[in-house]
Amino acid sequence: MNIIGLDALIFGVDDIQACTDCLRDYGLHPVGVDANGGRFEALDGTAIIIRRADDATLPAAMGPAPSIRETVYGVASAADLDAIEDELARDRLVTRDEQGVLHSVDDLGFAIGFQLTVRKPFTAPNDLSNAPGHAPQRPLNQPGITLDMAAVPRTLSHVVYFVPDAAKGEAFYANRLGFKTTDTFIGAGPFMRPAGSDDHHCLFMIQTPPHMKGCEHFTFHMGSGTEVLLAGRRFEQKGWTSFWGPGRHLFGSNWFWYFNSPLGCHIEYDADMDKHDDEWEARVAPMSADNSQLFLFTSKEKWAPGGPPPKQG
Amino acid sequence: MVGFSLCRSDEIVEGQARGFDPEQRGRDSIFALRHDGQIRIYRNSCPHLDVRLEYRKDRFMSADGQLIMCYAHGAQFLPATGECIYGPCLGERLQAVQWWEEGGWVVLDTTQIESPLPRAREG
Repeated sequence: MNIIGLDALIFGVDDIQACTDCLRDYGLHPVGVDANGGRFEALDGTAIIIRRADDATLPAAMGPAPSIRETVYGVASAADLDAIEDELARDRLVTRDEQGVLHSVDDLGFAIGFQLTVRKPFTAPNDLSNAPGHAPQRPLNQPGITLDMAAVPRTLSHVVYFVPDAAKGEAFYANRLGFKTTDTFIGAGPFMRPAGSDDHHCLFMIQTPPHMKGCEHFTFHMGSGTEVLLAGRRFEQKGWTSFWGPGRHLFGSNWFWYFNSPLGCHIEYDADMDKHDDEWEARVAPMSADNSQLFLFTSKEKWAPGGPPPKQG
Repeated sequence: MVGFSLCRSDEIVEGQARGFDPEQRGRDSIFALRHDGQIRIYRNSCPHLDVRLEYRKDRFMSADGQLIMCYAHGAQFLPATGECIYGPCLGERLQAVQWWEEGGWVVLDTTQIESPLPRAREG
């Protein structure tokens, strides 16, 4: 089951225009977008798809709009699709639509889809560094940043769910779909990567009371920490509300910057995530501000996204 | 009672909200809205995590203008009472801010404003 990673996340929303503005300002490329929604693509073709919340073709919503409606994974081959269909059809409904996309549901109630991946090869510049003690990476006379340099989302990185039973979710993705747990926050949940990806995680689950079930955030990989800062600054200057960041996570080592969004969850920029193979031994730690961020450039230090228990009121 | 004028009351229109920064912190700490003809003012702090609600300037409401939304985690609140009816802080309430109308203006009691108001610049 060679699941490569996320191909698309589909949201049912109540304000197509606001979501269009958000995803375009974030840096995704609109494809076929109209008053009923459309695709917003990163450089490799992975995408956020928005539809009207009452679109009858979407899987059922878990809560009021706006909300996530389906998580679509990309696989390498038709044989992988067949293997997933055989596995899941043992105990649940699996359908295959006219485009050949498999649709089913996980053990927590999240709609999941599988398709031959849309990911296409692309090239984009590396963020070259000059570090004393190490051979310079950037040629002489080449500036590291310019005012108009690109900072564009490159590929859909990961999605984070609020789930009522993280252990049940971990078991499903591990035993049925071949995901590996790379690290775990005690009391929150596992970071998981599918077998076809070496990224630290494309799925993270946070245990919450059942009424919170849904999407906490999603993010695309940027080219570097510099690009996270640059894109986030531009996004903020367009008026979008910063929620947490910029900073750098400890588990996964990825840079982060989270914003509120009209999609009903946070939208994040991330970059420079760790890569792992099966030799990696998963770490376990309590989820705290110190454990989830190595450093942070704003004064908000008393929460992680969805992590600590709600304030006692 | 010392008052702080926010805006004219007719600038708060039905089903829409407007954020204000009376503490001059560079982000809106309160927001006013009109629902069923009544103006309501709340602190811009979600009972869940003490974070800002809006996704961008003045965008505190659902698309249909019927609910207050926290666009951090999707919590929904009744405009009339501030009660959370969906989301992480289910059953908790937004903190209401007291105000009165004076000569067509929405006026806050300054004791509810946390940091000292900046004085008018002289010279």
